[in-house]
Amino acid sequence: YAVNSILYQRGIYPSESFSFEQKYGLTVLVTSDEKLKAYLIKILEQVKQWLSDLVIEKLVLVIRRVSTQEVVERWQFDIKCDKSAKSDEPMVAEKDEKQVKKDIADVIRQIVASVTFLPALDFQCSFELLIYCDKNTELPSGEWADTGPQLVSNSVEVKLKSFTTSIHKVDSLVAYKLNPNE
Amino acid sequence: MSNKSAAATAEASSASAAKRRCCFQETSSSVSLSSSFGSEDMQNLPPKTPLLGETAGLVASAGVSTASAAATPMELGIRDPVLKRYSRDYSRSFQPPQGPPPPPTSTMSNRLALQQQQQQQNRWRQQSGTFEGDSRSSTTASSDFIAAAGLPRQSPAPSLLGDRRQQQQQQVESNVKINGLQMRLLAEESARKRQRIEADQQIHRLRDENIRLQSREGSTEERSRLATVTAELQTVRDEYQDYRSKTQRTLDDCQRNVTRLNREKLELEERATADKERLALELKEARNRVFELTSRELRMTEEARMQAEIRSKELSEWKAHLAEREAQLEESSKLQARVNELELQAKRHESERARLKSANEAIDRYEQVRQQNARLKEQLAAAKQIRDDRLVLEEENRSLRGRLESAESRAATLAADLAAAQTAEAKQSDRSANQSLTADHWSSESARLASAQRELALATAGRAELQIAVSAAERSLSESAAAQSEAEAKIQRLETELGELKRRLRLLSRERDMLKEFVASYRLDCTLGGSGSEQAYLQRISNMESLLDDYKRQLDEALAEKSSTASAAPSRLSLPVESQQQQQQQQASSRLSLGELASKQEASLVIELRQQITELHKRLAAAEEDKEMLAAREARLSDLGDADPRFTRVLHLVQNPAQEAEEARENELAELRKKLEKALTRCEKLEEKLKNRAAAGPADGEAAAATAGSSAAATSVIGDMTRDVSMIVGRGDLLTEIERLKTELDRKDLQKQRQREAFRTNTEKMREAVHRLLGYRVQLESDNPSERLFRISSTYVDFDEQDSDKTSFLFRLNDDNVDLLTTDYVSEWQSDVRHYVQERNSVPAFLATVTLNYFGSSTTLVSSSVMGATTIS
Repeated sequence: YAVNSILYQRGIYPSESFSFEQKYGLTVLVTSDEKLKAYLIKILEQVKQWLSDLVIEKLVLVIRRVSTQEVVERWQFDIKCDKSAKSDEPMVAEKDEKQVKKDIADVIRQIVASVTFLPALDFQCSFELLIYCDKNTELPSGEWADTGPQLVSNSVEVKLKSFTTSIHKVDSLVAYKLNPNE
Repeated sequence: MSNKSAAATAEASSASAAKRRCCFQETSSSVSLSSSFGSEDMQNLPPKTPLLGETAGLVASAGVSTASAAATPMELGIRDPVLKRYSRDYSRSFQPPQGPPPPPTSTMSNRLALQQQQQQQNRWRQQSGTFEGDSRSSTTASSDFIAAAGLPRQSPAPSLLGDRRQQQQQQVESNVKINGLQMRLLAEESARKRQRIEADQQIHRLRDENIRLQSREGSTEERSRLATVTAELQTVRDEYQDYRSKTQRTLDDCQRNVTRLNREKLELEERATADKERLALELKEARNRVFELTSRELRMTEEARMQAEIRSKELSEWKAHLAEREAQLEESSKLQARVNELELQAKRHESERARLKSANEAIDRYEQVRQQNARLKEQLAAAKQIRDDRLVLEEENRSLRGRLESAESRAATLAADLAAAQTAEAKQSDRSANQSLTADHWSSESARLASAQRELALATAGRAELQIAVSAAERSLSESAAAQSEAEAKIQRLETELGELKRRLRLLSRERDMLKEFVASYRLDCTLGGSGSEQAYLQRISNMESLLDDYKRQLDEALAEKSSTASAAPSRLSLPVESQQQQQQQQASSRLSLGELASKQEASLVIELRQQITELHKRLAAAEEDKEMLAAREARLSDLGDADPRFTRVLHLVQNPAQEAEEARENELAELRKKLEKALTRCEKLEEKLKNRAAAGPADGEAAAATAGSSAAATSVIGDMTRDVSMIVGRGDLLTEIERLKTELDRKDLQKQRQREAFRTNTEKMREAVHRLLGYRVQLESDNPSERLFRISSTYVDFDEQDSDKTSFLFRLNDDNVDLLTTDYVSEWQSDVRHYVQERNSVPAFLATVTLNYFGSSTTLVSSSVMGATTIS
């Protein structure tokens, strides 16, 4: 939902291709573009698997300018796993689910609010999701490949709120180019 | 009588002997009882109290025997505090009968008294046993409490125990003294009573004898015996009186002593009570303290256990660490040899850093070039737009050329007409003399000629205009072609540059990775070898200092030897004194000079080594600074999302939206390039045509001149544009070029907008003409131009209903036929549709029929109304 919100708020996809949905006590926008949905589902299923394996470190949404392939924005979600929880025994939920949902809703709200300070993207953009994993992570199929971190040159960073579950802690950060139109 | 008295005397003596035996038996029985008591109770008593039985037995025997009763527990060697307490309690509870004991009138009474004493002793023993049991139970309870609390058993505080032991000892001593005195008093009283009884018995016997003697009156012998006996009796009485007075004194002394001792005992008891209370409080406090101490000890034990575990872990870690250190020490010996190599590497590192810096600058430049490339790509897009405009202009040019050709043909026709008219005029002028033409014919011919001349003039003017327009279009075409070629050249150049930059980027990335690895290895070397080499240098310095000390010691020894030889010199007689002194001085001076030299060398070596160490420290500090800087940079990059490839993989799906957008853009660019190539080919063809036309020469008159002029103008325009482009390219002033292109683009946009407006106006005019001439309104129904769906509604249908399916037809135009789509309105014309469309395949005939039907019905109405009006009129 955070990725959908970013794509909607930053105008990567036309607003007509999003529909409203109630989640975490918020009205969030979810894409109805089938191609994009398929891409997100494929990525997020794999991310779910890696989250349960505690090998994931970061999830990054990179926004690029299509004409120059320049990275103009980078939404980074640092995931810190509690390695001690890696066991076959069922985990006892240490944190209230309501509180976790509230924290996630806060992060989504902050993403929506960040449009106020982020520069407008007056050009055609595309996006890509990067997953930072442990070195020894096995790739599931040939659809996945290694790539670079794709940093923003001369960037400005703003830290967003974080939330924790009983196993993971997620810190958010957005790095953006101050004058992307130059 | 004498026999009777003798018998009585004998009886009395036997009775006294029997009494004496009884007394002896009493004593022996008491001894045996005490001994039996001791042996039995020693068996029955608990193991802790074997001495108690002995003491009790001794005390009990002391209670009967006078001499041995004074034995105290201290005298008996009792040192056990528990036993002392028992003996104290025993002594305290031992209360002798206050009144004088009943006179032992018989052995039975003595036995009863002994039994009473024995019972009393048993009671005391039971009490003491109870107390012992209580104390034992209390001890057990306290031990159980300690065990239940998990506390370790602990002896009471030494000071408290010492006080208690001292008090108990004093109390026991006093009680034993009192008991001893009481025993002595009882023994003396019993002895006195026995003596009194014996004296009474003797008096009675003597009285009986006196009576018996008195009954033997007259007997002088007996009188003398009586007098003797009376004297003896008097003596015995005197002795008895003495003894009684003495005993009374002794008794008084004893009573006084008993009173004093009782007073002391009371005091001691009061003191003991106070002590007991105090001791109870102290015991309570001691127990609390013991509890606290025990809990503290427990905690301390637990902490100690944890600390022991931690220390054992630390020990194992330290062992592992020691093993690592040993391994590092071995490595450090290897690394010492690498110090020089590291220095070289550090220099190389500096140079690599400079190269890295230059590489970073190149990367920055690459970013600038990429941005420039992006700008040029945008310009390329603008140029492509211009190319599209150029296509439009070409179309326009083509149409204008068609118009020009038609105008030229028309002009030729008009010229032919004019020539014919002139010929006819000449002929008519020749015939004017002979024939008289009518003024009307002449005037008509002259008017026709004038009109033809006007038309010719108009056509010439139109041709000139068209030629100007053609030349302008050709000029713009050539401009756009030049711009296109320039843009193409720029694209090629930028692509080449982009390839070069990509190659440089790859090289720089490889170089950066190599430098990163180099920096990491250098850092590792610094981390591993820094402390080891430093230690090695320190060791070397210490070795040198020890060597220096050895040399100094040798120097001192040499000086001492010198002084000793100097002192021993006078005693040597074999060598001359002076030569000996000189030799010794030479030896000493040589030793001294050798020592000084060695010390100087060592000092210089030490200084050199210290300088080296200082230098190494400086290098190490510099390396540390570099390391910190790199660590800070790495931390910053890590915060920004940089990934260390040693630990992290950055993954993405190969097919992602960005990749798809990139591919779409590449495809679009490829298509545009193809279109551009096509347009260039067409431009070349057009230029060739123009050149051919210009080379073909004038066909006739003004037209040929005009064509030649236009071709020349077009050629000159192309030449000018080429020159301009070459100048621009030569200057490399891209910004000016961009500005020019922007201006051109604006102009083209304006032109395009005007064309669109003109096209719309013409379309409206066309629709209006069709509507008015053919009687149908034609509208494009679908937004998709390839579908070509048209709605046609008759002009005779009400205007408000024209767009609905009930009053209009829908036609789809295909390449070779026309489809009439089924609507409600079509069903109304079913017969006509079948007749014209389906059978004869003529849509125009069907539409004409529909129009005629509408027209007929409206005309009939009008004619009927007109007829009605006529009839009425």
